[in-house]
Amino acid sequence: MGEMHINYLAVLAAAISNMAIGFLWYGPLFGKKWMALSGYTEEQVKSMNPGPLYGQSFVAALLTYYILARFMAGTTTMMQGIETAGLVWLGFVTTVQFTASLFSTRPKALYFLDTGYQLASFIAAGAIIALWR
Amino acid sequence: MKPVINYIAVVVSAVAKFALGAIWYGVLFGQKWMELTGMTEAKAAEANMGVTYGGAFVSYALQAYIMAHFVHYANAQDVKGGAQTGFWLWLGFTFVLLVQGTLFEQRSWTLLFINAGYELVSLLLMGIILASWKKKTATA
Repeated sequence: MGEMHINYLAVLAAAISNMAIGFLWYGPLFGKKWMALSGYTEEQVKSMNPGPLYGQSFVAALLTYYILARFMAGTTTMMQGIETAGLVWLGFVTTVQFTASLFSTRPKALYFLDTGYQLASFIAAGAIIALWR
Repeated sequence: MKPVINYIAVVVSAVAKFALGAIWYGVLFGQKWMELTGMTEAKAAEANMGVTYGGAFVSYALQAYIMAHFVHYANAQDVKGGAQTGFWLWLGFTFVLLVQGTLFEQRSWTLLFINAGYELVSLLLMGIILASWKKKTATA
């Protein structure tokens, strides 16, 4: 990959959208379901220290969308952006989650819940990065 | 511009990842992995091994097929380019995914090291195979 134009504000916006979708997904939408499936209790979740957790997660998301933006250098339309992001999800995210699920005794529904969040995040990021050049 | 996919290289990449998995989660880190995940021989025996390994192989083949597209997007033509593509895909997507899982589920960092290490070595390997193995007709 040579020199290319990357809109860092779009990368930042994609990472923010990832966090926002995460709050919705693991909160109002599927929070209860996630706790039931993963075996976490309200008390355990409350005892986590959310500051560093979300901070680290945000930095990780910035890295992901920066690299996504690099792979999207040739895309020009929103549909192409969503397609590239969807391919990343299919090839390097859901496949990894799927094999992890196969080789574990965790409920399969947890795989669908987690990978659905990733799909929604990648589609949003692909659209943002493609549209905001 | 649609990439020319070398399906033999895709299958060989999937076989390589599968074989590496047998070594990684068997000889190299099998004991440690069972200890950290709480998986026992008895629990493992309950699962349908045909479905588990068959499913794993299909997902590796899908990954290799999609990776062939990214090798093409990155214009990787040789061992170095293939390894670089594998590294970026690993760092951006697989590694981040595994780190976030470890953070939010408060799982062991040693387990992350085992799992992320496997993904890194296999994506490097697959990138190298896919980038350097070009069909003779692909240049026409």
